Amino acid sequence: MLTRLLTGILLLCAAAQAADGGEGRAIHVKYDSCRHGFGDETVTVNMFLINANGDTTTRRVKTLILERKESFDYSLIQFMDPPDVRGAGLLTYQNPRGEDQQWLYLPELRRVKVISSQNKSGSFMGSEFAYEDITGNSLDKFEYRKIGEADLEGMPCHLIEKKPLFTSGYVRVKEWIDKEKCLLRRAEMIDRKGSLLKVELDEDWRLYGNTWKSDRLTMINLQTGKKTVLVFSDRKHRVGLKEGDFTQPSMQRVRF
Amino acid sequence: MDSSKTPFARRFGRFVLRYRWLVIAVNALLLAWIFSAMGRRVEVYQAHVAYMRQLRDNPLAVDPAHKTPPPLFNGDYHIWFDKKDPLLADNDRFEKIFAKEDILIVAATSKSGEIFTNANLAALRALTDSLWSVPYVSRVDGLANFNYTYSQGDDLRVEDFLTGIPYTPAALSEKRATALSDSVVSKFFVSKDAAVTQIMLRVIAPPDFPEAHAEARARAEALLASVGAASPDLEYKLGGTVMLNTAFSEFAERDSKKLVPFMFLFIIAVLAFLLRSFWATAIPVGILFTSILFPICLFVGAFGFSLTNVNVTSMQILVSVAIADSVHMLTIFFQQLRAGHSREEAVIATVEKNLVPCFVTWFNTAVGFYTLIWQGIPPFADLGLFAGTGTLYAFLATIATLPALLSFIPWKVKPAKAGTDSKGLPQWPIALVDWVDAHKKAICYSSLGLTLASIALIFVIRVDNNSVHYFGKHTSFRKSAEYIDARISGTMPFEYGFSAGEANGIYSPAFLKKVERFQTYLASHPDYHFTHVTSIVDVVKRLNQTMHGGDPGFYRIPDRDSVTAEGDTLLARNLIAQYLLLYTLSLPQGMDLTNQISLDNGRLRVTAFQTNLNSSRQLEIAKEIDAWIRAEMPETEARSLGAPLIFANLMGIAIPGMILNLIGDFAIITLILLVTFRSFKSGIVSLIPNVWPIFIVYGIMGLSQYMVNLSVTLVGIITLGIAVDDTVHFMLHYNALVRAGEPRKSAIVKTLQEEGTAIIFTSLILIAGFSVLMLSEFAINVDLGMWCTSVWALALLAEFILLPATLLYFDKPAPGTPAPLAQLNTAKAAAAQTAH
Repeated sequence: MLTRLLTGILLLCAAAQAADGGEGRAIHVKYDSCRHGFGDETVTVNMFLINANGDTTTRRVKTLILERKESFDYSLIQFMDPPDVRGAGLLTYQNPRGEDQQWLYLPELRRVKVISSQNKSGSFMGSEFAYEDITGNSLDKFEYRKIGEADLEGMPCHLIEKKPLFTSGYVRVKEWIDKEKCLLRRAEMIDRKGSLLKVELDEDWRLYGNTWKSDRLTMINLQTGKKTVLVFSDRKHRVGLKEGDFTQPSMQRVRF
Repeated sequence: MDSSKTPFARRFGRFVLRYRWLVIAVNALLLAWIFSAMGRRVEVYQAHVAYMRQLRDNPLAVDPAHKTPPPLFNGDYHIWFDKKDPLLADNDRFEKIFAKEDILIVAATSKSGEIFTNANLAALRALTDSLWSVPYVSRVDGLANFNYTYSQGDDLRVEDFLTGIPYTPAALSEKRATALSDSVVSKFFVSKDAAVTQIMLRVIAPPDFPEAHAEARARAEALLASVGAASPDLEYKLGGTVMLNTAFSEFAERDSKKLVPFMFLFIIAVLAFLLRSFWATAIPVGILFTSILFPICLFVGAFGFSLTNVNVTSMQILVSVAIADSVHMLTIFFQQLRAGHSREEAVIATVEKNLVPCFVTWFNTAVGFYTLIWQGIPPFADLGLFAGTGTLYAFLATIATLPALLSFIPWKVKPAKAGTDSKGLPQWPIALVDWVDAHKKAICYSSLGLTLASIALIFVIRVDNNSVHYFGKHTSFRKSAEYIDARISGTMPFEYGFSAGEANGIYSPAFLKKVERFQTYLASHPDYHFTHVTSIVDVVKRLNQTMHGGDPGFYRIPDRDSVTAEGDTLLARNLIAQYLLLYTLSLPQGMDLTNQISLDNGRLRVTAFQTNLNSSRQLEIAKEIDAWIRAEMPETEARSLGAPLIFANLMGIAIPGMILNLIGDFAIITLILLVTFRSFKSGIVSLIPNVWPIFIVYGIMGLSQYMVNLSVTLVGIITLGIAVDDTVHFMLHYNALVRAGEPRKSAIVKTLQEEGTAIIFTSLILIAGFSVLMLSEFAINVDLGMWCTSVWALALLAEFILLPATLLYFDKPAPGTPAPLAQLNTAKAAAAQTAH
């Protein structure tokens, strides 16, 4: 109810400035709202990195997320596989209005290091996903415009174009959000030279409680022919994570 | 009219005259067909370029029905190699494991000698950001966006090297000091005096689409002129493989646009001067023009071949082939007209007299070219096919279309000039042959001595096939390449793929130490001219230092396992793996480690950047390094690879192939001459003026220690066919006279009187035409022009001095058969009769 009210207010505010009467942003607000509100989450992610020749390497990480007010979320990624990096962790305090805070723990060094990086366009763990594809999705970091409608495999979709308002690797992203459930099905990233760089496919949408989550994300780099598939499993919500689970000492505990 | 007694050549001449319309129509149709095929081919390729542009912006817009045509011009170095070449196969495997990318280097120089000013840094920052918009670029790396990782207390900071411009004066000098001391920045991005910096663009072009490089370069140049011009203190130069690949097509195009027309103008001027007739110039020029275009339009237009730097030289080669026979035809035609024959009769007689010599010369030349098909270097095989087929067309056009056209022109023949006898024959050969006769022994033996000395000198010829040296010293491409070499970093990458023997083996400290030892070995040899050697070993050492608070004592591979206070064992191997994980976590867009280590983490790449050296030196160095690896660490399976070495190696493939080719050519041509002259002695004697100049020129190459390039392998083949042409005309004439009973000496005089003018004409035209090539900016063409003109100049000398001397010295008549003058007159009368 609160969400709906908020949506309405935002819609009114945006209507005055956006070219599409704020419709694009409103759709995005709706999409955002149905993905959030899970409180906290633990999930295992299997990463399949596939090169242009079709050779595959796999990595497995465990991810812990704590939802906080206004998207100031905490997340902790811990490596499970390959064995030589097992236990390495990356802790992120997301800041939708500024720079995220990040800490890295290397078990073989027994030391936690603060990493401050402005680089959001870089690869996420050597995959075709960029950091901004995974974490940079705060609503206010983009400008939205509905550019039309299209069918995607029989699903009627809104076509939304979003333009990043921060230093990004993309000039714009085109999104297919289905009309029925208001979930992102496909996105196309246009790079700084105006060429289509990547296609993202969000599949296996599942309802966990009242939160929708995609359990299979595919990113295809059309310029290099490389591909990354993320498969999510053991997804659990409301497991009772607290802020105390996202501290530097907590990084040194292995949770799997 | 036709009877079995009439010689075939005469019947053919009559045929040409009677069916002249048919001859011209068939030729015109053939040309119309190939020209339209060429037009279609260009259209198809333009459609492909448009399709690829569309695909570049939207790779999803794949049309499954679209077929990729071969490029119109292919500058890719892969074309030089037989697909089965083992070095190329190794290199392709290497590129498959790591990455196949081309590099475009932007070198920025500060005119005032100081990069670190706010204006310069701001311009570099803006330029680096804007260069991301260059087509096909996957990554832009420069001082501005260098992923600078450093430790600050216990924090690890990763940021762009240049952020927050403008700086205060203090911050500027701090940046400068950091840049000059940082192990990576000082290696790649700033010169020691902080006057030069470079921005490197990685370009991934779709296969078989060389236009991608041209597009990338054009956009980069436009950005330098707009964004880069923000700081007037900066001056830009471009380098790298993108420039090399575009330079090939650029220079081939410039040559064919500038030099070929110039060569034609020259030839037209010479023909016009010598023959002083509009039609006598226009007709052979028309034949020449269609002859050089014929094979290109046929093979590229109708059969889908690609143009290359080598096969476009078929144009220059065919000029020389086609013109010789045309000049022989016209000379005889005018002699006939001057002798008072009708135009029709002159046409028939011209065909009759030229059919056999033209056929023999055509056959010799074509055989020479066609044997290139089996030479083993694909571009030379194409050249052989183009030039051989062009020769065939030129023969048919010269022997049929040319006389058919001549028969339509109302010729006005000028009276015989002074200095000639009543039949229009020149008098100078009499004095010349007298002089030669007096010195024949000295001429023969000194020539023999020179030949032997030259053969010895061939073994000290110095060869070079460095692709940068293909371009003239004064060209901007070469200057930029040498500038970047001298100021920033070597532009010739030697590549090594080190195998650790197992998946994830690259994390082993022992393995990394091996690679480090190899890098130290390369860097400790100043005579190898590597400006720097890089691999992920540097990354591991640097991160080890950064993770230890920047302590320089930790700039090393972590190699000791340790035990913590709690008693846990810390493995150096895992630490290395975790450093590399950290590294991949902080890599910027477009960068990953797949161009440094294999996907299974079992192999890593070492790149050593060398300055421009001669290719023979490159091969020596590679050999030494490979021997060192075999002795010290054979289990790593590494060997020297990379485009410069593949080019260098090409010379080693090309020269033996070319020598075999030349020997084969000599053998086939000798055989043809033997059959033509039906005399062993004539066959052997006629080889002398052909072989002699080639040997002498190769001897000069050895003596002068001139660094010869790939053109050297073409010189023999191109010149041989042409030199033989003149000898064939000479010997056929001479033999006919001797058989008719003319004494040797007077037969030589008469041969020179009747054929000498044509021989001088063709030689002068060829020398003039090919010397135009020396104005080219492409070293292969320059050298080709220089060596070919030298051979022909010497061949001319041989034709007029050495050949007569040899004939006078060795071709002695059987004793007791002096040729009476009366007999000669009878022979002449007989010859005159057959002419009517």
